[in-house]
Amino acid sequence: MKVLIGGKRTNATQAMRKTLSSQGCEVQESDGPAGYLEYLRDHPRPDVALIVQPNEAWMHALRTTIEHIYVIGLYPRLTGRRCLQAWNIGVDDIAMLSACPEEIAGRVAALSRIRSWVHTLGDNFTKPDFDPDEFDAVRGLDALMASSLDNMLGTDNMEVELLPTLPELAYGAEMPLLLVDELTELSVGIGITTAEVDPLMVLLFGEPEEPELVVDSVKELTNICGGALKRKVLEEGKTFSMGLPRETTQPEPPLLRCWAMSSDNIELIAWVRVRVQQPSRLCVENLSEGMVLSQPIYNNRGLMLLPGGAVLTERTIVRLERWLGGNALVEITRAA
Amino acid sequence: MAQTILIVDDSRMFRRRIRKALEDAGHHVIEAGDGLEALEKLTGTLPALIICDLNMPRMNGLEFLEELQRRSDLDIPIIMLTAEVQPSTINQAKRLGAKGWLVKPVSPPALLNLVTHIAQGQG
Repeated sequence: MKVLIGGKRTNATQAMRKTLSSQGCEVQESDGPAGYLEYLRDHPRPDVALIVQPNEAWMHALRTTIEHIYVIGLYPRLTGRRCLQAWNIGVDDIAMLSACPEEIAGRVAALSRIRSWVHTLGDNFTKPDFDPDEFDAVRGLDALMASSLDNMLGTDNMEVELLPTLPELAYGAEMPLLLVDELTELSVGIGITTAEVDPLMVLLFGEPEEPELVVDSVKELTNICGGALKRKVLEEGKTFSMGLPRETTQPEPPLLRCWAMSSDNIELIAWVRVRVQQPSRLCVENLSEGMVLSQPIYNNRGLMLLPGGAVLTERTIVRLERWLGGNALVEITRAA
Repeated sequence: MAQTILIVDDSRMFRRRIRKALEDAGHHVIEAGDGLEALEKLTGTLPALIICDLNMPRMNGLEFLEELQRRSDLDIPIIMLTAEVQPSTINQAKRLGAKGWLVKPVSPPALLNLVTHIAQGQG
């Protein structure tokens, strides 16, 4: 088991580290959520986190991965108020900081046993179809997006801050990126608050502009960030099908992560979310632009007309209607 | 040498920025928001060069290239300017006649270099 010990280092946490290590656990330590997130960029996530007096910032950092990390809160004293607070922020279990290290190791071992037992039910039960954090590109997405925005806007080294929630946006857009075989849609988004509308337009065009151009600009920034992610993931052997950017100021929850990206003269909000996209079958006449083919389409001589992952345009739909007829069923994933 | 250049991109923001860079270099620019609109524009004016996005609504960049390939009267060099670099897509675009490929966001000097290069017949 991979175990994270987080929070202020004490004799008690050092004793836990020694005991857990001696029982074969891989133990890492981090003094705060920021350090943990930094660590997470280049390392796999822990299975269990032992956190000294966890707070919302810690819980937020621990919930930025798709797979659940079991959190045990360690407290100097266990009062009703502390237990309630732990419950409210989503801590899975609690223990005294002064608890015997063997007891904590016992709880971790029990989790390990449950995990092994669950694994006997098969990979489909325990493994998500797609874990975005397996990709360096996704783990480092904040830096990748900030650098793409720097290139586009001419800003210099945008600073990135992880946000607990998405602020209210005046304009926003997201780019759906589909992994057809994994039935997964990963969307990257860019938004701006009301206060940042004019600064963004001034940065791009030298003066404030009409709302239509603001929407267009945010969509294009999203397109550029989506393209950067697609290129980076390609280096890791996966190919995303890129849809068309869509306008949204309220992306559907849950968000995997969201950030404020700021330079001297602008602050943009960026986010990423992941959802499972089951394919569905539609008649050709009901297809619409931006949908992605789940399967390649062949003609009756076995010649491939369109590959799986192709993003439909108006023109492609007209051609499909001509090739197959309006009533033919096509398997698609809804990206738009 | 000043050229007439057609920019095909669904992003007004991008068209405007590219237009500025090209006009500052003395070129004349016409715009289209997708492949279909570009085909309409080509009935009126014949540009010396086309700069075309890949992901667009209605008719995307590859479909536009296919259409141009069918039209023997239109022998215009095309630079693809897109956020993607999937090798199979680049190869397909090359087979369909694209002369160059630039990745967004592109710097004005890089764009102008390629425009000059292709306009001089070195693409």
